[in-house]
Amino acid sequence: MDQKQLIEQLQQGKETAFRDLVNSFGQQVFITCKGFVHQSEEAEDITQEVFLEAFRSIHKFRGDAKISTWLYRIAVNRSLNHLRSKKRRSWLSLGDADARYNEHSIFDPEDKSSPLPDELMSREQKSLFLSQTIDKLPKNQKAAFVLHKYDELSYKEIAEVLHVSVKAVEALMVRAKATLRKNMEDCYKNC
Amino acid sequence: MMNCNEIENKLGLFSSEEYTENEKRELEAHLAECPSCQRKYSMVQRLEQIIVAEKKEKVNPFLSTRVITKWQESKRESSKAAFGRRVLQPALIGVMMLVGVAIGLTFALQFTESPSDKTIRELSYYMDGVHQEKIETLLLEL
Repeated sequence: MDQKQLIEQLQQGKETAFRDLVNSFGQQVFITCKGFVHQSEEAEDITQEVFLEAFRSIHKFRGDAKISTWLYRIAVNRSLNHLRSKKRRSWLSLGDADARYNEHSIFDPEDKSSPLPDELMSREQKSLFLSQTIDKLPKNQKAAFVLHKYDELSYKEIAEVLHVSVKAVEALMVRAKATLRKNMEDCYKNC
Repeated sequence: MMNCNEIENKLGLFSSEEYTENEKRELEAHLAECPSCQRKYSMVQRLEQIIVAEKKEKVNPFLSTRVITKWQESKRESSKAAFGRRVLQPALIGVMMLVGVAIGLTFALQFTESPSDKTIRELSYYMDGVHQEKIETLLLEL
């Protein structure tokens, strides 16, 4: 079934078309969400929300963009909203943050020259490393970075998803890499 | 031989695919001698490894079933809400208006004199002799 047919069937409310849409793009959307939140359960919940929003607003989709581009856009918005509300909630439990950082240092206390090998890093340590690096990126840099590194989209495709020019995406990626380098340097000092 | 700044720029992030064979050799030689760049390189590698591992994760195979079920639930709820908005709400407003009109009419009828009531009162005035008797006479008879 091509995209036009799929959209027509979705707009007619056919359940099989909805099922096809989830089966075709579920994995991609899940990986995008995972790139933002890093937790499988949260990523799955956001993926569900993305498709529910897509089902609700399918009649607004005019078909001038690829359906995957449209889904990526919803996924980016939903993930950023999720992170924003999570950040708001985390203000309440801010007191425990320092304790967690000390408890789950990603470096071997005996040898601080390099991070622990991947297999030795616990889930908390990975989460700490990611929260100190990718999660600290500004939202537009993070969106470009996740779409490029997790979903392997080209700069042109990212530009379509984010509604910006290709030049702007290139600039975002350069800034994202510089910010990540700085974040990793900070992480080395603090983690 | 590359210096630390060049190495750092070259390390960038995830740019290993852009290295030439010669650059790779220079990079390895520099990393072997420079602990600072070695540390930065290992962090970049760690981040790459984490991303690769995250990308490998498969979505729940029951995702489509879960999404369809939720969508049907939300459709049922929204159709219930729409029924409430489109049918029940106007019906309730209509009933309330009718009740208001009925109450108003009841009150209005209580204070309205029908012609028959007026005639009876006029006739009874003449047939009733009480008003013609003096009050003293009435009191004496009691």
